[in-house]
Amino acid sequence: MPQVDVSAYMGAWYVWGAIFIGTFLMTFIGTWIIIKKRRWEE
Amino acid sequence: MNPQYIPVPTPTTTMIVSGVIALAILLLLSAILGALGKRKWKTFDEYLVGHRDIGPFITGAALSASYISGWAFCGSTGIVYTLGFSGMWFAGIWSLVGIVPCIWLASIKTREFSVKLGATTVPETIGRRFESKMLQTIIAISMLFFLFMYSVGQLKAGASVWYALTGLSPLWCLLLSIFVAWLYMAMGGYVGNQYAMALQGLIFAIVGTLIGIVAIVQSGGFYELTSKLVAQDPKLLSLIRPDLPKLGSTQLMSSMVGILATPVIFFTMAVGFPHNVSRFLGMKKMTKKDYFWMVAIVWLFTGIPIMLDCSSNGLVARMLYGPQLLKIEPWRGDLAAPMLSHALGGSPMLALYTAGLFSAALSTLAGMVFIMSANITRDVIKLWKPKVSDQSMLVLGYILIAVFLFLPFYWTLVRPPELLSIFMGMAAMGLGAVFFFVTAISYYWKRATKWGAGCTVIYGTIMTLYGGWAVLFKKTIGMGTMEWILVIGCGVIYFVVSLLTKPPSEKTITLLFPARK
Repeated sequence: MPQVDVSAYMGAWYVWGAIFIGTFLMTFIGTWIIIKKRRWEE
Repeated sequence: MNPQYIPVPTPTTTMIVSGVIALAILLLLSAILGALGKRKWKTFDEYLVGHRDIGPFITGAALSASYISGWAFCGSTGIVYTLGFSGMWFAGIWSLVGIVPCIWLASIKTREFSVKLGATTVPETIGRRFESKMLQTIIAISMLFFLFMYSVGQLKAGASVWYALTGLSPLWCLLLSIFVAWLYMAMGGYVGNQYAMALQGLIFAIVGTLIGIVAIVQSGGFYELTSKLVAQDPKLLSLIRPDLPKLGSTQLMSSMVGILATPVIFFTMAVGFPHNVSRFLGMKKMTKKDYFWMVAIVWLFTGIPIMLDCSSNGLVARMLYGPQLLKIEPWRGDLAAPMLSHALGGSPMLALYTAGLFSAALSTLAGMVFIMSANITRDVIKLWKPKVSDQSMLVLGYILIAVFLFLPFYWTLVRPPELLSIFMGMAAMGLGAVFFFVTAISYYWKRATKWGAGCTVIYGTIMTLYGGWAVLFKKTIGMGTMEWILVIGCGVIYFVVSLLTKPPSEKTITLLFPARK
């Protein structure tokens, strides 16, 4: 079967990858900010 | 059979035996953890919340388990299998956008408020924060109503998968599962339940991650997967499907109004769900390090499995089986996840998947049922009749747990009344929209009043009932539009009514919102 050029359809994966990386960064940068800014009674 | 696709497996003795063993091990371990929790309580208060000494790993794992339901572990893959990439918006791609802010906004504050106010449940914490027994009662009744509707469908995924894969009636398997859940909740109380939930969270995290990664590797990678899906139907790779109806639930994939509502749905649901917020009632006082680890556990347990579960897993299942599963009534897309696990690793992988699915389903149901029972014993009866003995409340609690576990079991085997099915579909959105404001925002906004919170509960409850009818029955409104109506309406009512009415006493405000030094 001839290989079809699917590069036009790969955009969905880029969006998915951006959400994956975005949520990872959101999780750890957001938590880092909270840890730094919050008053911790330790 | 289409030679282009792999054949759909039929139940074999190995599949049945390995599935039974996996489920038996899960239930046995859960019961043991429940028994361990028995040492952690002596009084009714301790039964409801333990000693508030649970660490970040158990709390984080239990939070993941309470949030990820059987639907998330099975149905979300089915949606993507059926509709393609566009299904991921509805299937839970934004799960982390909800559950991580739930920790940020609610973890420390739930513990702090409940300790300062001597509260053991979320309605009690909010009732005392607003100095209103009536508000506590209204919140408890509303919570009970929403959780009851939402709990009814929790065992459905487990029953479908069990029957489809073993050919056996799900009656005994579900009955045993709810009996064990009752046992560990009755024996271990809050702590036993939290331990069992943490174990269940660990199991589905391992299984979900394993299946997701093996699926991408075995499919040949993203490019290969895309090539084969385009050959089937290029629409499977679209991120938006304007060809689907813009009314009803498909609005979440067919229009920008719907797609933009999806992160809001997942955000408010995760932060507002009482069974999520309750995970923090019994946690210990967190250090910075503890806090970091709790977030990291939730990211690992929820983030990785669910990101794969509601996107690539459905697509790989579609690549392998084509549209064949859609023709198998009545399960159709729900078979995508179990069939994928079988295709990837045969009976052993399917057995692991079964354990993961039951872990996800039981943990969410148990989290809700424990709250529903406390809604009646602690937030209504004990509130208005404080002289009622703790022993009678415990006994009543055991009975209520049994009843609230039995009803979802019954309606999984027997088709639920149509009205209940309709409202069930909107219960999660309603819970999220109402309790995001009434719980989380009330931890931060000291000007909030009992009237603002009470009116939000009433508006949210009425609009959720209307939404169920208009979105899922009549299909005159899109689900995304309904989410905006719910969230914006709850927000406007909460803030405007609060600003127009009198806040709680200065004493309570000073206790809960001390001035910064």
